[in-house]
Amino acid sequence: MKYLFSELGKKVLESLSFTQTLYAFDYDGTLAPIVDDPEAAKATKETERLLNQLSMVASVVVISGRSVADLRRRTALHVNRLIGNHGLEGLGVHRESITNSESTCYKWVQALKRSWGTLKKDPGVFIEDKTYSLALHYRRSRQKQVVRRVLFAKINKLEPQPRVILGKSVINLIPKEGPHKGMALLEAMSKLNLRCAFYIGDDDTDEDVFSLGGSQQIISARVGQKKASQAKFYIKRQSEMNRLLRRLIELNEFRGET
Amino acid sequence: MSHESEISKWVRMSLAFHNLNKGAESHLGLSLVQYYLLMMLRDMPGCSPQKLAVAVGMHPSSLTQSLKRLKKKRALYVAEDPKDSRKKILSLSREGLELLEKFSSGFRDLFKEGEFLDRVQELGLRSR
Repeated sequence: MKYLFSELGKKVLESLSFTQTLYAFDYDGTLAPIVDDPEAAKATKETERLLNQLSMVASVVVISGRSVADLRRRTALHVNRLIGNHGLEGLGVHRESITNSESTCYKWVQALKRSWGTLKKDPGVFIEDKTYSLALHYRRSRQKQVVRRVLFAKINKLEPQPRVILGKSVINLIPKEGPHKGMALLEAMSKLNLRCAFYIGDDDTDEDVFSLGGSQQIISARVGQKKASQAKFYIKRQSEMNRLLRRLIELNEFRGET
Repeated sequence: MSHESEISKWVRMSLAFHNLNKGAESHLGLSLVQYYLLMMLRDMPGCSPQKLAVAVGMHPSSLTQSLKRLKKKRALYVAEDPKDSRKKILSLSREGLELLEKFSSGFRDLFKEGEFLDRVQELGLRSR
């Protein structure tokens, strides 16, 4: 993994601006800083302004685990596409797949609520129902290890079994037939007719993008260095995001002038 | 047409192509193959040499020579793959982009002026 603002990283970023590239961003932990209460997560005004400016000179999408309605509520982004629920919303996925995911998630919520038991006493643990996927948050719990074990025991009893993706103190439950962020990025590239993409994200749900191969050219970066990650580049922390956005704007504006 | 005259036409064609290539490289800084490689690389930033070889339909060993020449011209850079130090990644440089632009704007004139079109006509290869 190389630092994105190293000599090599800067050259790769520059070469992305020589062609039509799709710039794709995760939301929580990437555009918005991680906060204790996921409901309070929000990109700064400056980040939003820079992202909107970038979308005027290049193709930009946001791919998040949040629902599109939730993203719209908390942001004022004017990007090409807001893709929600790990790719289930915002790309025109088949209606049948959406209906199935909705009914599966409803069943899971009911089952989890019935068996919530002792977790009711912990206000730091809660279910976020995103209609087409669920997120079990425990960031504010004082007994993270114990809660995590209890949650996994409950998840193991769910029918049908979900696809589990771990985030930062959050367990994402996604219907197995649903897409993932990697598929969402490929679909967005195809819809926008672009062969090249840059993607940046911060947690395990983004590994589905980092590990993409094939004929498409995807340059990936992670917020925070992690040896086990498949991302090729990293930025040190979320607060470097605005620096990255400014650089991308500069490079793509320059392309427009040549 | 006898074998001899047919072969002689093809040889003249090959020489004309060689001269066109030489002219392009001396006037515009890139041969036709180099131009094609850079053009493909522009749309594949950070790709591996193997991936580029497949994309241009070239044998990897022939590609290595062309890449060396382009690296000498600072038209591209070769670096270690950040995830696997045994592999390399390639990207177009700003100098490479400028060479591509210079080539695109100057090639048509070079093509018209040279003997290449006469040879093409002679062989009946020109479509219009």
